[in-house]
Amino acid sequence: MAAEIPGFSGIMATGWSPLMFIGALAIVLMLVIALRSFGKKGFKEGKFRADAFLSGNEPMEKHDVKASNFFWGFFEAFKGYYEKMLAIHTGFVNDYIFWFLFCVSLLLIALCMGVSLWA
Amino acid sequence: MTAEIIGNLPFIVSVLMIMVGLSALLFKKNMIKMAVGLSVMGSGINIFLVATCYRFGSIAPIFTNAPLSEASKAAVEMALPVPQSLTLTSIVISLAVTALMLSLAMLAYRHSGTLDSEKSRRLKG
Amino acid sequence: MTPEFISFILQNAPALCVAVPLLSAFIVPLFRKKWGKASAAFTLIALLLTECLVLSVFFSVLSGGTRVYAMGADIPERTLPSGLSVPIRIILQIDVLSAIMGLVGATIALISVLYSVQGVRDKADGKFFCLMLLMLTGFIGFVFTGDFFNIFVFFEILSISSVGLIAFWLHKQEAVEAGFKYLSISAVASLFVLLAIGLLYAQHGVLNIAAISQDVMLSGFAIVDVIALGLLAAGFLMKCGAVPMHYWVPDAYGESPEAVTAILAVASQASLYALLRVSFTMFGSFPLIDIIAWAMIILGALSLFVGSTMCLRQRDLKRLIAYGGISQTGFILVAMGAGLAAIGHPMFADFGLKAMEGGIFHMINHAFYEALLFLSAGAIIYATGTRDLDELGGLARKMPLTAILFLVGAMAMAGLPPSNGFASKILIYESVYYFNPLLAVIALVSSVIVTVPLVKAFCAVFLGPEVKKFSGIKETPKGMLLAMFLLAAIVLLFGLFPGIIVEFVARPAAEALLNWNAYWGMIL
Repeated sequence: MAAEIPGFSGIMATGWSPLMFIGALAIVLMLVIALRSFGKKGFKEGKFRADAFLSGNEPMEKHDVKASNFFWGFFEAFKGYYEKMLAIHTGFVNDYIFWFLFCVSLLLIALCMGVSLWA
Repeated sequence: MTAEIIGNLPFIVSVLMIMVGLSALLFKKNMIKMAVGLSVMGSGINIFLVATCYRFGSIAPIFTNAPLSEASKAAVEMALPVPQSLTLTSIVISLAVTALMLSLAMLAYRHSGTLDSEKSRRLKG
Repeated sequence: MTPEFISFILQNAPALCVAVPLLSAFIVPLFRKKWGKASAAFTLIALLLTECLVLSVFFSVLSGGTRVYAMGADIPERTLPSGLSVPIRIILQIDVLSAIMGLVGATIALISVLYSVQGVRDKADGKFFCLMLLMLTGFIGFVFTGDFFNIFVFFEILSISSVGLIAFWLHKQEAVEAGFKYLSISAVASLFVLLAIGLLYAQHGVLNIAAISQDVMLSGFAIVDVIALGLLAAGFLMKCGAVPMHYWVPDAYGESPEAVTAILAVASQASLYALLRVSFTMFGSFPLIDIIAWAMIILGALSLFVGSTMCLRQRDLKRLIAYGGISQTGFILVAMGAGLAAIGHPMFADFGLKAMEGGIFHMINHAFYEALLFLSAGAIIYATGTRDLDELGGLARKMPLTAILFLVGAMAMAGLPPSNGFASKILIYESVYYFNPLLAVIALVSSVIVTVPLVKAFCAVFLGPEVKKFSGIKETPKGMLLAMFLLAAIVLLFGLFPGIIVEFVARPAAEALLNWNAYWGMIL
């Protein structure tokens, strides 16, 4: 039925339909609410109740991680790549123009090679 | 051979000017010199545009009171008007670009005390 | 308002779309400095009028097909004056793609001016609104024109006025530097475009796009055409921010006032439009067009990967979003390149058209969610005065609505359902997969990577413990919120009903790009 109304049907044959997605989301939300209603009514926030259990160590003091420290492991793993990338991103105007001319010349060389192949 | 070179001289000059302008933009760190380079490059392209519309022995394309050629009593050949108007427009635009570039270079000098684009650079990465 | 007057306006709407913002741009500075409110109101009215005119053009193009408008003709539809076989007048030619691009540009200009009434400081003297209106003039003229030299002229209007806006806060050294960089590189690119226009004129003797296109495709092969094609493609690829010519993007997007950044992002879509116009309409059946298609695909894949990984590295909120935008441009380039490479392929009907639909749909979506992200970043900067992610934190308690709006934009850029970004990205994945599975994998991986910095930005700005410095801040002012709500509504609506947009806008636009015979037929 829904497939016959233009605009309401899925946009691909494999069937992504946003309305279906919203319906599924609503069902999941209802499930969450239902599960939550099973919880104990008399829960009180107290010491250590909602804290993370760090293998028996004393709970650490709260300190926030700065944004530039996020995903430290990722940057450590790809250190070589990022060093090269940052070396390219110099921020000098002359380099910007150099890269533009580089691309123009590459494109023109490719086109001229195409001409000689095609002719 | 020489006739060909002379006939194509405007195009050779325009390519040379474009190259000079580009090399200034590529290798000069002084912002004023970059503006000069851009201006030279623009002039090179203007020469190219004007050269495409010229025919040998032609006159300016003004139809009012256009002279007739003595041999055939027909109108004298005229240069193509369209590239000339393109050139005029592009001169105006390159004037605006040069003025804007020079004023930005002046402001950058006021802020950082140097015209060197590498020394005054703050944005990177 | 007699019916004759209305039909006169509707008939001349294409020219008025350019004329209204242009004329009002020169009226705005006449308002005195004290009347800051009046100049804002005047600008908003002018933009509303433009929006209505563009809408009327858009609907007439959707229902009646491509529209032409000859400037200065007694009958605007008459493109060839009597006895001539070559169009010499300046002609506006509006097909579905130009109409939708113009509509997107006018809408975002309206919304960002609405935002800037409260959101941009130090704009009392009308200079800001004047430049905004000029930028819209350049944009609409650029996408509507059917004349190749006009493309250069409007391109320059667009870039010169954007330089004025990027370097709007002259007291900041970074803004001046970003303006200088953008101006120098865009001027070089524009001069290359001008050189290519000169070459094409020398070869074909006309400036009309349809006439050049017919001559290029029917008269066969000329080396001048090849060089012009290379120069044009490189210039437009630079202006849309494809890697490795993307260095100006984070500088310019990072330093401009936020309302301007939203339009700048759309302006880069305009150069994508020009790239499509050149590669499809003008050179579509050219023997060497595959090289351009592969250049688009390779640069697109590079943009996808480098944009998303560099995005992860950023500490500055606006530079982070700018790098995200570069990776999204990669999506469009890959999709359109796949469509271009597949022209004439026997399997084209299977994936080529779908890829182009996805690319055009993503162009529309990208303009809206990028604008939403920049505007909500602007709201954060407006409240806190900083855009350093290390300093920000815990703002969701103070600005819950802004947090939700930022989240909507971030979801769309990351391509999560039910936002519009997901709808267009899935079209691109599925169709590009048939073209080349590796490309689909690259696109998918970088879409995942680009999710990470957006999560990082959201966590760093809105979550976490409260920062003492920002204990006194309030929710964003109402005018700015309204502008962001409008964008978020568009983002979510396009995500919920993608079929409508694809069926009625993206597919006709893709077909208009492919059907170059019809494009010539309107003029010749």
